[in-house]
Parts: sequence; structure tokens; C-alpha cells
Amino acid sequence: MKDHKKDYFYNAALLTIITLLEVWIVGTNLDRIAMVTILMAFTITKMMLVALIYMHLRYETKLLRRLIVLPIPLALFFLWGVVYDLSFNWTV
Amino acid sequence: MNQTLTAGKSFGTATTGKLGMWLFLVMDALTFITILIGGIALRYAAPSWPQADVILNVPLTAFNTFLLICTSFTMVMALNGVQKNDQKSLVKYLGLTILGGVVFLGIQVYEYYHFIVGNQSLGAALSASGFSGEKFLPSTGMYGAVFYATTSFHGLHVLSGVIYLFVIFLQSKKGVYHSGNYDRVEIAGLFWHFVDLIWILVFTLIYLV
Repeated sequence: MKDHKKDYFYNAALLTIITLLEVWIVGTNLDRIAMVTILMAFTITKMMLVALIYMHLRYETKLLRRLIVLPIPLALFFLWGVVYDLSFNWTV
Repeated sequence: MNQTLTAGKSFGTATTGKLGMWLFLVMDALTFITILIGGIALRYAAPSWPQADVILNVPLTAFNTFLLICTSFTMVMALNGVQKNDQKSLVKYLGLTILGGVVFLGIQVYEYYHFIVGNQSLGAALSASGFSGEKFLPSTGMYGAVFYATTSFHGLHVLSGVIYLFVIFLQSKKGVYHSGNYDRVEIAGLFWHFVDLIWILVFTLIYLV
């Protein structure tokens, strides 16, 4: 069995660096839209690193990967569904 | 009995147990996404929403995020150990993962305690965000409801993960797992990494954005 110890360590280091960058960015005076875009890009990168390296999705078959990724459009459909309620004020 | 069945050619070496866990994780992810999207919708419908770092302790939670990343590393090292029949490594890294999970929960309880008991500085932060009182509770507007619903749901997952891993840890100490039988360790690991993966999203949406 191939040893992935190095990959695991570098992945942890990369995740930590990205987390530190996220906290640093929040402290800057960056434009709000730019900040949210950068933070979401970092978050998606981190989530993919965990799924691909730690959850070994990188080494799984195409079919399994597709089955796992397939529900994401469903989540976007949820988001699209609630967009209609955004104008409603839910505050109690 | 330690029989593992492969799910079929299309899934490579993945066992039925692993496939079952993946299906569960996909459904669990959709539940989390629903909660998070609900939170986003409430946030944008609200007339005002506090800036996260005014009320919440971002540096402490960033440390918690780092801790959870470390536990993902120790968990995958435990799996690496059992795949090589290294029992010592399996037990050591599983123990470290559980310890990391317990510390994570401890910090979350500390954070909740600080909010629920309240103090003057918290009261000032709440006042600056348009809330009254010195306590930050689930009833502190929609903000409090979204914060507690999301973080407590994740916290329950961490608690479940710690209990799950503790059972695997006890079995590992008895020598149940080895290079020919590590499916359950891998499946438990999938759940733990999922908890980390979801926290990454929760941390950004609740504490940073």
C-alpha cells in the first residue's frame, strides 16, 4: 500500500495556512464583496482538500465521486427556493 | 464476525459499509446546507445583522478550527497505521483524535458559558449590535437563533464523533483491527473528516462573513 504520510502532513499545513489567511483577511479593510468572494473561495478550497486527501475521494472511482457530487445542484436548488423569501422580514 | 463486502466493480475497492457511510454523509450534508441556507436567508431578510467579530470570539474559534484540522490529520494517520499493521500508531493517533475532539467541545462549552452567563463587555458588544441585555442567548433575535442552531447542531456531530471514535479506540486496544480488517476505522474516519469539512463552512459563514 502506498504511503501518503507526506500528503497528509502537507495538507494539514496548507489548511492551517489558509485558515490563518482567512482570519487575516477579515481584519483588513477590503471591500465587502471582495472579502466574501475570497473567503468563500478559501472555504471551498479547504473543503475540497479535506474531501480529496483526507476522505480519500481522490483515490475513489469516478462513479462514487459523481454520486457524492451530484446532490450539490440540489443544494443550489434549495438556495434558489429561499431567494423568494428574502424580502420577508422574519425578525420577532 | 469481521466480514466486509465490496460494493461492486464500479466502486473499486469500496465496501458496502463505506458506501453506506458516504450516502449518510451526503444526506447529512444536505441537512447542514439547509440550515446554513436558512440562516443566510434570515440574515439577508433582517434589517440589520451584527458584524461577527463584535460579539463572537474569532481568534478562539480560529484556534478551534486549527484543532479540528489537526484531528483530521491524526485520524488519517491512525488509518495509515492500521493499514501497515502498526497497532501502536493506530491507538496513539486515535487517542489524539479523541482528545482533540474533547478539547474542541470544551472550548465550545466555554464559549457558550461565556455567552449564557453574560458580562458587561458582552453587554456593550450586544448593545453596539442593536441588542439589549448582557447575555447572548438563542432568543437574542434571529442572529442568536441562527448562531446557536448551526453551532450546536455541529457540536452534536462532534460529540457523536467522539463517542464513535472512542468505541473504535476501545476495540483497537483489544487488537480487533489489523491490516486485513480496518474497514470500520476507515468508515469512522470518514465521519470525523466530514465533521471537520462542515466546520470549515460553518466557521466562514458564522464567524467570518
